[in-house]
Amino acid sequence: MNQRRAKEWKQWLADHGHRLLAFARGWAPCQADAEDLVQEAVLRLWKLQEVQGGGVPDMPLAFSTLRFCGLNRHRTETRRRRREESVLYLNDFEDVWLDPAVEDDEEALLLRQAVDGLSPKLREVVTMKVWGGLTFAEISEALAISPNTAASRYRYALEQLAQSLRRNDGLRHGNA
Amino acid sequence: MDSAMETPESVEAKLSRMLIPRGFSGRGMAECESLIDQLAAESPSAKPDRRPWLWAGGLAASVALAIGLALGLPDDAVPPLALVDGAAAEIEELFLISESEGVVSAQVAGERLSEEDGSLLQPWQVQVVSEERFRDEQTGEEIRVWQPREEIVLVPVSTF
Repeated sequence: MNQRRAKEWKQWLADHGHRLLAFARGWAPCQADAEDLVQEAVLRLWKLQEVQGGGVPDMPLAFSTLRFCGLNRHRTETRRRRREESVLYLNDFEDVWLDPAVEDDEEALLLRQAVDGLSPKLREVVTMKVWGGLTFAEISEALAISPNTAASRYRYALEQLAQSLRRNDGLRHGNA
Repeated sequence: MDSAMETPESVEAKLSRMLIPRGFSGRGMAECESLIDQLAAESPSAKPDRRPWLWAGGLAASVALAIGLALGLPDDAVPPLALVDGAAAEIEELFLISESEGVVSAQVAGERLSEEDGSLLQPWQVQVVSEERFRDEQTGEEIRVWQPREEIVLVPVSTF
């Protein structure tokens, strides 16, 4: 019974772990910390699901739990620790969370930079929708906002990204 | 497409096509799987009865009572149930099952703040609930003590 359950959860993690990890990066300064955050969320989800029969959780619950783990993490850390992490992170240029599909794709790098520049509120919706594969209804459930708000944040984020790319393009042509 | 012509629709297509989130490291996935194995091993259906003393105490009381009745103990003899006095006292106690603390709701609270070194902090208003769960072994009842409170958390705004 428990072996079957463990197998089911491992398969769930193999299928969806990368989606959770992408979202966790919004709350963690580096890859290793994001993995720890997902691990903490898995622990909490396991306990939550125990009263529901022990099955794997749905994705809105998983994202929501991960988000709370992220908030908890920041809440319990000291100011000094946070500052140290920020410095470590800023010096670790290789530790990025999105890789270009094609190596050295300049446009992809600009797009990644634009995503990084979004406000946390907009970026989390984009991450959940594009790389998390959630619907607006699921995002609204995970973030406790209305589906319309989720959709409008997403739309606003895409407009900002488009504007950012246009601006970068203008600068490149201006410099050329 | 030329960036000068970018639209939200074209950007949406580019996001999923051009950028791929990094997956788990070998170490991260192995740790997660190990955690799942550990949780499965600890889950209630995998555990033996956690209260062997209760069975042992009950069994000892029954045996003592049966022997006492068979031998016809005098009135001033120690009653057989005294054998399990320790266990009985333990039964009356409340056992702490778990302690947890977590955020139940959160929302951005106001504008970003700047630290002396120039790093930005985003204030979040979070509702935190600490919970303790106790079990009364005698009645089998579970008692939950909730303590909600509100906090403002400053989260560093980092590019990632």
